[in-house]
Amino acid sequence: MRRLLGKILGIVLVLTIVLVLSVSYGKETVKITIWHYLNDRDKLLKTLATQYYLKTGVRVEFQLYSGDQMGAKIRAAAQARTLPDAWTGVGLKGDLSKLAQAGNILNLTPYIKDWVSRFPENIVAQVTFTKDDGFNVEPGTYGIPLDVNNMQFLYNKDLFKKAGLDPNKPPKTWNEFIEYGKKLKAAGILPFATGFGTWAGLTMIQPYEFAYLGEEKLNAARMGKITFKDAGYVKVLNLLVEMRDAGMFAPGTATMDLPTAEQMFANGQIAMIFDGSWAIGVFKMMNPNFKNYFVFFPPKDERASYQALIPGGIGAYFVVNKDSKYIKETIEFLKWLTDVPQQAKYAKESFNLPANKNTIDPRTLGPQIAEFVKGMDRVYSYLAPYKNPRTEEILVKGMQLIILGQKTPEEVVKEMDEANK
Amino acid sequence: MRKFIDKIENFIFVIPALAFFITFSIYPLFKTFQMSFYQWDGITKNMIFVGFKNYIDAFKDPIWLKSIKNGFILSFLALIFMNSIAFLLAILVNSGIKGAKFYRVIFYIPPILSGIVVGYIWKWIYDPNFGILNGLLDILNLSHFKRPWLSDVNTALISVSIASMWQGVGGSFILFLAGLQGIPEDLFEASRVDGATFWQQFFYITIPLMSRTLMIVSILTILGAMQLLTIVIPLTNGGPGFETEVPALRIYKEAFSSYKFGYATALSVLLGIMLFIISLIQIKLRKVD
Repeated sequence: MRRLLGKILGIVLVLTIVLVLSVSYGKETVKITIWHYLNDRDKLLKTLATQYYLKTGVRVEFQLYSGDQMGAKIRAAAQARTLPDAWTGVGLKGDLSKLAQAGNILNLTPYIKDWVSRFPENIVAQVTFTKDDGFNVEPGTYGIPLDVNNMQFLYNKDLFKKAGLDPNKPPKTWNEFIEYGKKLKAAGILPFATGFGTWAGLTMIQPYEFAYLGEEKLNAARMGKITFKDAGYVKVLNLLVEMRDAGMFAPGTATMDLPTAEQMFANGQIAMIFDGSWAIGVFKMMNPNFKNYFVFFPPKDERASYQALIPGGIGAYFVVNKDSKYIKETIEFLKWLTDVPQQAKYAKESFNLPANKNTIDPRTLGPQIAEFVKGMDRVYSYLAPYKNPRTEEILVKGMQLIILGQKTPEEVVKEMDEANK
Repeated sequence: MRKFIDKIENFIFVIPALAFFITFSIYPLFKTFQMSFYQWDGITKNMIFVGFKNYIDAFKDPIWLKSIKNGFILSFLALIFMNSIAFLLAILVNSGIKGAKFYRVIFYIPPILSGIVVGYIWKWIYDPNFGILNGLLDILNLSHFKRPWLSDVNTALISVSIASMWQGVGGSFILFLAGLQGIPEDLFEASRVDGATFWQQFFYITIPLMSRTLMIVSILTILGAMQLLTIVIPLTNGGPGFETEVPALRIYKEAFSSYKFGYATALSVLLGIMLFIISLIQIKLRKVD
């Protein structure tokens, strides 16, 4: 028995020494951990972190995770209270409000009040809660923007030329868009793909949701105040039928994820894609020789009564863990990261639109990015959350089946209304 | 006194394992069951007790029921095809063919790969535009069979099943091989002396003596197929539509996409009970045999 007690005491002693040593070792430097999903900018962020370490002695470790799974990872870590010091936010106010209510993220207002003016007001508003906005969150700003973006169509000029189309005249109307698709198909070129397997397909139809329904009706339908059927949503989904009947979808588009579609576009395997301004950096990473492409705003549908508005606004942004040991240091780093020199480097190397309005004019970075800059004026400012979050899933899956000809728009709209009750 | 001290000593050695088991198995099980009676978004502290509502909703949820149906189809396909192939391979390797050890290693490589990796490998094989499968059909002059395998509602589930069977066949193979190696050789020798054919040996010696292994493999196959998740996410994410939706994916989506954590835990409990009952029935049937 004595020998056993001796052994147990020995183990406890060794564990104590290891613990004390590791704690005292940890005190030597501040180490901030940041999770992000910016696959194409991982190297750049790590370079900037090294630069910051050399300047201040504060270590910043960027950890990369899949964009599609980041939301689930954050929610799981929030439950377990194992969130890092900061992370790139996923979703906007709907998701942020839950984390804020649970006390997972920090109200940044008192920390950033002296320098928040470096970002455009409408961008900061996307991560700011106000008293009567219905989210039940302590008013304040909960995110620090890194970049801004918007989503539009992109096309391959060489493939347009090959199909006998003018490479400098992208389609301006929906009819032209369909005609171009038919011509590309006839020339043996795959006309179009985007990430209908995940979230990106939704964003492709959003401009037409606004164009056909108008902001008021669209948000009323999403919140369950009127049905999607009564709002006229069938017309929006009919656009997919028109694309399908014109043979515009590349095989496999129904379940394709966005990175696959981006890879196909960067390799010159599809003529058009619906994607965000960040894609310029993604294409550069995937195929550095691919340069002959351009951007066009969602073609105007003459049948729609309202103006098309595109998804966009705040792009990547950081939120800070309320329980972080290094709140001050984390915010100091984010302040430095979004300062003019770092934002200029970020824009030049990643081809993303910087959030700091005092940085270089992004239009000087190339014609494609200049075209995306023009689109910033036509980004929608508000999209209501669905009454039942499952409605979005029903829509995504329904769109897949419309593309495959397995369901009609009427059937999908009926299912959406049933889900959103 | 000595006996008592021995008991205490033994107990001290068991404590770490017991603590692990309680912390990581018993407590989560209890917590899951408890949470299934609540409406909870998984993040905020606001939990509302809803009684059996989550369970009632599950029986009315067409997507959940579809995922269960798909789970059974995948289980059935795996039971028939994957296990037949695994059994055949085990018999071949056990028959003393040249390079048996090599094959044993090769067949066991897929099971040790991550499901996500297997999913991406097969996604590349099935790619409708540049995949190896459609390419092979072109070479064989069978282009009319080409299709977007994972996007076609008629082939998506079968395609997922093939990928999962490819990964699972090695696991069943190893268990069958271990079972075959446990059958005493003298039984076969005696039957040979009595003039038994290969098929007679197979049906009257191999199969009866393998019944315990067959039962274990069947249970593991059903449990594996019904809990399939990591392969499905990269391959189809449940699409097109809900054609390849499986129970574990549904639970994952309800918890992490729809913010319905209480409902997701109720689905987990239902799936757990279902698998427990299936396993019990199989064990019972084996005892009847």
